[in-house]
Amino acid sequence: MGEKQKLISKGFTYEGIFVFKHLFYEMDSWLREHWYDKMEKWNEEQVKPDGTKQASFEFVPWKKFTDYFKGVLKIEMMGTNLRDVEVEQDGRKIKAQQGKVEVKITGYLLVDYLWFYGSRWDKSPLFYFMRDIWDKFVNLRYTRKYRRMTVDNTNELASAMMSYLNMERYQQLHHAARPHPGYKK
Amino acid sequence: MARPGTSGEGGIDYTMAMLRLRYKGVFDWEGLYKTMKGWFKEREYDFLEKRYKHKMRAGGYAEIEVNWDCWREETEYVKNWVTVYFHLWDVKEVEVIKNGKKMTLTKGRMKIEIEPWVEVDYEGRWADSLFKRKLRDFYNRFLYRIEIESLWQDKLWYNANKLHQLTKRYLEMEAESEAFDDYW
Repeated sequence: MGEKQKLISKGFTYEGIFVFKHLFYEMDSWLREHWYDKMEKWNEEQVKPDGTKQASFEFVPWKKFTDYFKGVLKIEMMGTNLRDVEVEQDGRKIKAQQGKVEVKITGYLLVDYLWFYGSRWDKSPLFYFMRDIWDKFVNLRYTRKYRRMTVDNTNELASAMMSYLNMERYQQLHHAARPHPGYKK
Repeated sequence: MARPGTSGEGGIDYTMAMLRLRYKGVFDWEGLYKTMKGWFKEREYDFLEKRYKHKMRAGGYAEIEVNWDCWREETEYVKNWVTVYFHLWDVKEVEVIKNGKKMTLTKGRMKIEIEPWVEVDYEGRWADSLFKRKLRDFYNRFLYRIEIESLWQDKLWYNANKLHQLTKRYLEMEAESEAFDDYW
């Protein structure tokens, strides 16, 4: 399988009125525009007897930078106490949801992932060591380049979703985790 | 290695990830069943319902399990498979008024798993001898790899995703979009 490096984690919470479908579409269209392959790991929705909904899903889209590096974004979203409401926007009535949504986006870089027959450099401890030396000292420029790309993509996606939710009035409640020590801008 | 349910002739399968869906509430089970089956029929997939298990539990609730195997021979060498698994719990029929009309729908919990995968050499023409199998493996790994990955697997993956989106749309789930619907 190769090595999976966790680089960055960003999360935010929003409580108020929003259109869940539009938020989902915003995320989906961002992934498409940036050439990520779609991977919906699971999707769950519960309709409670009081009419509220709880919707959660986990996306793990990936993008193959090269045949050695692959960027993966893990997107976890949970919407709780979602109640259908009608709001007026630009003179039109639209169906929206009132509730709370928590989003967490984690960026990973997969090294030596090659899909079909597994990792090429995981066969023995010696190969593993040689790959590590190669990534950290010889090929450092490219390793840093793809790490930077993954981190930037994570930040961009989080910003796109936050700006859709109009986060100017709400403070980001979860702060970004410390970036991987190997990442330098 | 042949997967259970394949031709058994010695083909190789390339499994992709599984698409999972869970829903709890009131839904039209009959309509969903027909819609998903119709999707395969439109695309000329061969359809086999391997199992339909309906078990009555205490309290008048039922448990349903359904397994579908659907396949389509793309070429003489490549075959697309989509297996679908439904598992429903606490199933009970309820009468609701929807859009001013009285309807009988199903209330319960449901899990759907859609697994697409590609089988190559499904006829087993290259499985007769060890030499032929080695030759086939070399061909699949080094010569034909890009086609299998970027043509057959990619196409099947996004088609399976379209089925997944159709299911979510039918259940009127919030987390669905058509952003990737025009792929393939």
